[in-house]
Amino acid sequence: MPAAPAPEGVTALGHYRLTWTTEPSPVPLAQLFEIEATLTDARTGAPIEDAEVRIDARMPQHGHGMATKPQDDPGACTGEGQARTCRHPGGRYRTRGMKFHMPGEWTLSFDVSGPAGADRLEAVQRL
Amino acid sequence: MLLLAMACAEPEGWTDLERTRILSLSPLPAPPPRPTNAVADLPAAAELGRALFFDEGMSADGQTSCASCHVPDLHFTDGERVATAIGTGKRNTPSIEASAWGTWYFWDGRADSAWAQAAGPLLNPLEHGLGADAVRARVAEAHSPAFEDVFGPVSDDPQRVLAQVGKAIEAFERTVGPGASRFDRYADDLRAGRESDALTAQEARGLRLFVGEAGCVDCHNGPLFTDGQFHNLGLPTVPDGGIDPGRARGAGDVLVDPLNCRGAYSDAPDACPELTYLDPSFPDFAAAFKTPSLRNVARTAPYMHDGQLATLDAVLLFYDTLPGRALVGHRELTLRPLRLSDRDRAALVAFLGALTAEP
Repeated sequence: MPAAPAPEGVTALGHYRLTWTTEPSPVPLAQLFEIEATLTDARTGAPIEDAEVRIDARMPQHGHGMATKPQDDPGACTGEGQARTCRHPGGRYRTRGMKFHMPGEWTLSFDVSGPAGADRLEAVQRL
Repeated sequence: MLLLAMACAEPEGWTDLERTRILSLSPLPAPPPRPTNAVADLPAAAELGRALFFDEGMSADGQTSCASCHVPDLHFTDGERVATAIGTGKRNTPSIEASAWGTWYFWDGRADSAWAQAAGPLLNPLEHGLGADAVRARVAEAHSPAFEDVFGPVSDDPQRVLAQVGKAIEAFERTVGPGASRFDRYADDLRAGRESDALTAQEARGLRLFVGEAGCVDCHNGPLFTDGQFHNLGLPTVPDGGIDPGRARGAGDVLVDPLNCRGAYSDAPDACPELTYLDPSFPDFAAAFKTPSLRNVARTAPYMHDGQLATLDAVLLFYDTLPGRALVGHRELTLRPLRLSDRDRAALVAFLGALTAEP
C-alpha cells in the first residue's frame, strides 16, 4: 500500500508552511511517538532553519492536553547563554515524548517563532 | 437499501469499523521484553520467583505471602473489597495476570516495572511489613542456593537484594498470563472468515455494544482490554475511603522511586522514555486510577480501585447513570450516562463473561 501523503498546512497568518510525519506512523494509541515537522517559507518554499517550533496537542472536547511533557529537539546549537543560536538543518524540527492517551479528536498545534514573526498552525488529528 | 443496512447490523455481519475494533482486542501477543530486568525471561529466575511469591516467611507475621492476596484460584485477586494482610489497606487487590504487558503498576502507577511493584508490598507495614534488611535475611536463610544461581552472592546492599527479589517475582509473573478466552476463539474465527459458535447471540450483542454505542473500548482497548492509562470516573465515595489522590500522587512518586527505570538497580537505566516524558502535574491525574484489564473480569469481583462495586451488574448500572460527581478533579469528560435497556446491560455483562480463560 503506498504511504499516505504527509499532512501539511499553512499557519494562521500565512507566513509559514509545515509538513510533518510521525514515528511510529500512524500515531499509536497510548504509546509514545515522535513528530518531525518541516518548516518552509509559505511564499518561496525555502526551508527555515533558525526558527523555534513548539509542538503540542490537546483534546478540545475533553478540556485536556497530553499527560506527557514532550521535548523539542534543540537542533544544532552553538554559543552559550544569550549568544546561543540553534539551527535546524533542512528546516526539520523534531519533538519527542508525545502521547495520545485516549482515542478521539486531538488538535495538534505548531507555534512558530521565526523570521516573519510568530504564527500558529492547528490541525485536527483523529485517533 | 435500508433493509440491507439493517441486515448488515446483525452480529453475523459486522461493519468494517466494528470488525477492526473487535480484531484489535485479540489475540494476546507475547509479553514485550523487559530491558530493566536482565533475568525477566530466565527460567531459573521464574522458579525462584515462584518460591518467593508463595513464601509466607517473607513477612513480619510469618503468615503473609504474595499469594495471600493474589490468590491463584481467583486469578490472583482475593475476592475482598480491599486488601487485608497484616493490616487492611484502602484499595482492591488487582490481578497480576496482565502485569507482563503493563507500563505503570499499582492503581496509581507509582511503579514503572513489575519488579519495582513486587518490592513495594514487602515493605508496606499493612502488607508484608518487612524492612529491606529483613528481606535480605530471609533470602539468605530460605532461598539459597537458588538465589545465588540467578544473581550470584547475596549482596550486602539490602536494597539491591530487594530489587532482585522483585525481578525474580516478575520473571514468575511473566509465566502467568490471563489465558485465551471464548472471545479470542470468536476473534480467530472472524479473522479467518469462519462461522463461529464461540459466542452466544447475547454475548455477540454485548460485544457490539462494547465496541460501539457503550464506548467501553475508549479506555478498555487493545488485547489486554486496557489503555494502561489513568482516568477519574467520579465514583461514589466509600464512607471510610476518604479522598484518594490516585495518579496525582503516583506520578510524582514514580519519578523518585529508587527502584524505578533510571535507578541504581535498573538493568537499563539509560532507556526510560516513559519517565523522561511523564508530566506529574497533568491536571486530569487528580483522583484518576489505572484502567484495569477486563480479561477474567467476571471472576475477579469486587470492582473498582476501592472494590466498592460488588458485581458487574453494579458496574454497568454505575456507567448507566453516573450518579454523583467527582469530589476531586472532574469525571472523565468522555463519560456520559449510557441509559441502556436492561437487555443491553445484561448483554454487556454476558460478553464480559466470555473474556474468562477457557480451561
